[in-house]
Amino acid sequence: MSSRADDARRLFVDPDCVWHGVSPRLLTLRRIAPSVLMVVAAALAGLFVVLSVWPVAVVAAVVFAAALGWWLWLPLNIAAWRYAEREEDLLVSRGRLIRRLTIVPYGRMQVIDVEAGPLEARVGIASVELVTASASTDAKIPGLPLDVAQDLRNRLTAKGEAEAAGL
Amino acid sequence: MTDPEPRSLQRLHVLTPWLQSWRYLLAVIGGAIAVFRDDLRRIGDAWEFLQDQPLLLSLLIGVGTLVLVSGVIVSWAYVSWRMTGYAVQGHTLFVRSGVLVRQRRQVRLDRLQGVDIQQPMMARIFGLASLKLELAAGSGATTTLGYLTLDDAHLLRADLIARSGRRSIDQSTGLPVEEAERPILTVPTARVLQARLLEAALSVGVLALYVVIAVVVVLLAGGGPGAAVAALFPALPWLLAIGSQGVSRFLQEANFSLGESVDGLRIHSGLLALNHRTVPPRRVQGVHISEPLTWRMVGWARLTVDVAGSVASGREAMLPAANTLVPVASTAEVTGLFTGVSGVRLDQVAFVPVPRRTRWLDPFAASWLAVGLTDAAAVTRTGWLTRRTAVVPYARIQSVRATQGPIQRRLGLASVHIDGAVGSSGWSAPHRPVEDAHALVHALAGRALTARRAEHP
Repeated sequence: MSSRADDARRLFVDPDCVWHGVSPRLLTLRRIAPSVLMVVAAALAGLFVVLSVWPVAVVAAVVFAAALGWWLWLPLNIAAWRYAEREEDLLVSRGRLIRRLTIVPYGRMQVIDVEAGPLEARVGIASVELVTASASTDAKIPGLPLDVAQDLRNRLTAKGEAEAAGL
Repeated sequence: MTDPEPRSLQRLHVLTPWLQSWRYLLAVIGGAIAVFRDDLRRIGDAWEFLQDQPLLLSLLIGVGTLVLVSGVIVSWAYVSWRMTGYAVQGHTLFVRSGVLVRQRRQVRLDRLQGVDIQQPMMARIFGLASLKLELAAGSGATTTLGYLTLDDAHLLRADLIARSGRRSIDQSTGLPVEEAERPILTVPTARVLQARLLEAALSVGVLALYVVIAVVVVLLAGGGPGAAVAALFPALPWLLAIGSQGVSRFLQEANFSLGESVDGLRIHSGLLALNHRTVPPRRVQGVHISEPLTWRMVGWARLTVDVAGSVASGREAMLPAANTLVPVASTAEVTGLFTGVSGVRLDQVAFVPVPRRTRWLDPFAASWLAVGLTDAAAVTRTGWLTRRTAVVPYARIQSVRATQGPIQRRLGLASVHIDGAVGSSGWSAPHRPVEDAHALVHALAGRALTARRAEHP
């Protein structure tokens, strides 16, 4: 069994490549939603326990448990999100329960999107997305520190242009 | 590259506004009748009122109303026709249209990929046709120009192709050298009908199973015959869907023939509305063979192609037959054409099957699933109710993906997918052993690059 796990690891996180993770600040951002949910659910559960309305209290407790599970799950999910730049293509690996690996040759890049929403901009992170002629290409790297995102975009653009010039 | 816009425009056929909007006209009239039903009854009252009046006056009012309403419609159609026109100047086609909102469109003919002649049912009745212009990717959607008489449509098509500079011109006539079309395959309409029925048979079989189970369950549960009939109602929309889809598909695929010209494969089909399409080989993103369960018993198959950017345009995207190259033919014929279009000889592809443990995940397909790589393309076999064989040339790969769900992880399997340009319907190789999947994704990504470079030396 362990050899299968090693094989899977080699497929999704090839040890021959230099992998970069995403910023821990992404975790902080993503944890806002479950945190709020946990606080609200806990408050409601407490309130309805005091009022002795047990069915509602149980529902609130279940919601709390789900939010806690989400909160605990997030770091695993975000740690699994990483990318590697190779000579001729970019690798993006993500997902814990369902693992995904996307390989985009630099020559196929059409647009490189760097995007930072208001919250992301506040904590200084941005996402970089590679767009190809395909609608199903799924190569988005969220939560890169702004300077890293800009450097990555510049490198990718340069490589894309070099590739186009080579054609 | 822009030419000055000419002053005078050619007009389309005078029936154009009617043909373009007869559906709306019908809908508006139908809607008006539905909404103003009560008022119409009052018109009945008015009719009685009229009968009390002298004959001349009643005639005057009746005819006057009729003239007024039809006058508005006819003059709208006339104005719309007067304000629509086209002109060809140099390497540009100018199209002007719109009454309230004027539209001017300039089509650069040097970006023209192909011109197809289309004859929807109503146009066909009047002997008219429209032209559909396909432009190179990135330079705008397709443009439709119509309606013209069929002869004019053929002349204009030849002229446009000549001006696009993609065809040698016959010096004496100034028209492009006649595009000789070599017939490849004709599918008898009876065969298309049989195939549709066979394919529907499977769904109808499942439906019949549902009906039997539903009735038995209801009766066993002590429900009366009324309840049993009521239990059948959920099956009704299903039946309707199968029926309407089957009929519309049959109408499109009937009368089918396939030929080959300088521009690529030429497809002619349609029972009520005639359709002519061209598939330029350079724009083929992938080729698929599909064999539904019931067709396998009689040895039939269907061939479809993915053409870049061709699916995007509105109503046509809804047509199930938009990508069909051969609606139905014997497996041997389809395999032969598959080789012709994709350059892949299926009997020479070294298919690698999936391991036995795949049966846990996909018991019915496991024996069929396989992948083969040739010099120029990747081939995969998927599906079990409908078996599919898909090929994507390496040069058309946009990106490569691997995915692995929790059960696949237990079994040490992973799926590999190829993303093609917009318009391709996907290529995936499910349940490869992870070590194979690893080799496969990197081989595909590598070959995508080298194949593309070889295409653009």
